[in-house]
Amino acid sequence: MNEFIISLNEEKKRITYSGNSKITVDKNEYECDLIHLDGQNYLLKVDNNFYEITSNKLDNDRFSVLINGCLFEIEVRSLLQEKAKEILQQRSSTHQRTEVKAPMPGMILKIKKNTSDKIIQGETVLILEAMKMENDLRAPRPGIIKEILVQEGTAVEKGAVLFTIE
Amino acid sequence: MIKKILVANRGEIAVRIIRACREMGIKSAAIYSDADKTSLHTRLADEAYYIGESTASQSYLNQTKIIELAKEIKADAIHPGYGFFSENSEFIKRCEEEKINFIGPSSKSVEMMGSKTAARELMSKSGVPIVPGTTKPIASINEGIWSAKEIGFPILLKAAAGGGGKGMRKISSEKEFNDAFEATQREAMKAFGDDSIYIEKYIENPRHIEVQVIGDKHGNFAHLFERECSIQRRHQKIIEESPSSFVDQETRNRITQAAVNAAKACGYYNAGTIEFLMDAEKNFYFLEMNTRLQVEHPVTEFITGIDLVKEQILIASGKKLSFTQKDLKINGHAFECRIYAEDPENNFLPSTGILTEYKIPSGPGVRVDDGFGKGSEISIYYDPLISKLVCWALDRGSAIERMKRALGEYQIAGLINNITFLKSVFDDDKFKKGEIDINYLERELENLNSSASKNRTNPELEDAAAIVAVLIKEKLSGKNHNGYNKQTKQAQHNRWQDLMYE
Repeated sequence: MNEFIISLNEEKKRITYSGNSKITVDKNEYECDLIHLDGQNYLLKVDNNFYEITSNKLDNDRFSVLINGCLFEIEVRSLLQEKAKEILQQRSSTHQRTEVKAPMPGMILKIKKNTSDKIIQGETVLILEAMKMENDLRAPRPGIIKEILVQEGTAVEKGAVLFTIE
Repeated sequence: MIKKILVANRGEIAVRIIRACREMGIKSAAIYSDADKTSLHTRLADEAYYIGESTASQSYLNQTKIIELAKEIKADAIHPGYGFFSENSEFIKRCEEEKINFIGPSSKSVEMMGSKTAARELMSKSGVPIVPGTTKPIASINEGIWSAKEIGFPILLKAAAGGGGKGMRKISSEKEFNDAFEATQREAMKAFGDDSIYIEKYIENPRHIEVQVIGDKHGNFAHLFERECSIQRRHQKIIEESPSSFVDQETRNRITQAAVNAAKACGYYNAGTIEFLMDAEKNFYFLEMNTRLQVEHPVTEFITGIDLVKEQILIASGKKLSFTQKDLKINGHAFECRIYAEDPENNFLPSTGILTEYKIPSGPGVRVDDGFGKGSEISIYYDPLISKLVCWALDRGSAIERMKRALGEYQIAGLINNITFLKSVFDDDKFKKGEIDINYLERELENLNSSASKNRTNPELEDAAAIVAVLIKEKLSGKNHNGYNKQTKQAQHNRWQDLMYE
């Protein structure tokens, strides 16, 4: 019997799976069948429902799952891996830093905050002009701006780190 | 008659035009940039020509290259689609000089409608209502108050040199006038170096109602009823419908007549659209004329049965309209949704990338216009429109249900898109009742986003998604390998053989 901890929508679920068609999610037991169609496309039968799935492996533990038009990003770890991760996190969680990257190439139009400003979640930190539109780049979490790595009027590539929050 | 059309556009509209050409027995020639090598229009056209680098100015907006190409490949006409050269009078003039048939209006009509103030003047002379206001700057506060009273509060004070929302102030009553006038003057001076101010009526939460018109080179005109396009974000439409649920027959008669007058006033031929703002009392005011085919033309095609692109081509060839006003009636109700690569939860931030999966809806009353397929890239260079979904049904309610059904049939992966958000609009009671205006989306944004995310936190779906992730991880790590992956030709063959000998 294999046990997994999955994280999705910021919640965790415990899944028990023993290789046959019975799968338990938390307390619910389902009868499941996964059929591989082609490439990243699958059909999943859960009890009496069929779902069309498109799934991508993002890295070792992370998968994107598109189901009924809803996109989920899911982390899958075995129970053992999850415990190891928790211990590691406890050791290093005192200083957590978040990097905010450019979601697309563009030009930095305006920087609205300064280094060491306190920010709340959702606050606009800078404006990126891309595809002829002004896009507010907001703080993904509350904290303090540790560093701003770009200047107004400069072009940035997709994925470039723009600022960090601590 | 035209024999070969150079389609000077890309994406879904290029595909739409190529399809019309094919059905009319006209050869089509596509152009493409580096970024569009894998797009659908290059594959569907009879011929495809590389036109330059991805940046539009190097390719789709390169006048000389496009005109030279048309001459070289002996195309006798150019269809501009929408955007790019469709309303560029300089380009149209060059086509006229080179004796290439431009599938659109004359450069003269485009020029007449191009300038906002000139168009306003022409409209007011032609019996088309414009937003009431002063035509000259106000000289004094007293004169301003007198004009404001005549127009009726609330009014808008506007800097004559203004633009982009700067130097504008709403005034609801006479006693606010003094202070507001001086403040707007100061603001205008600071922003534009010119403190002249004029007055326009403030229209509270108007609807965007537009009328499809068409005219030929023989002076025949017709309208194809109205479309309502009030569902907008960043002043861009995302949902359009026809007919409008707000417009009654009497209003329809007046607004379509005004639209035909507008087209006549600028000597128009080709398909065109007159845009109006409509207030709660069903008064309407001319906004602007779009002298081209519109993105949302399919809703009109659904309710009238007229193929607008074919008509455009026939008109350019010098033919008469294939129908008269009397032949037209509104049949049923149609909606269009624009499926964009953008994130409604993040201020509609555009998304770019490869469409790793792309399945589209079908079934009764459903039409999809698109220009991409699985593996195509939505790049930073152009509009992030992935697909247009158009649904028709006998009445508005059934069309809404059909749209919800069809939106649910999309499977798009690799890009963030607005499908879940659009679904939540079609689920919204106010929208269903037709209680909409151009500020609806901004006002209801939080509501709509939270109902969209509720759809995503459905526990059944979450469990299914969790199961998939575990099963795929197990499958990829080699455990529980039960042969489903062996989709080779040989394996499929064997399955047939197994069946035959069973």
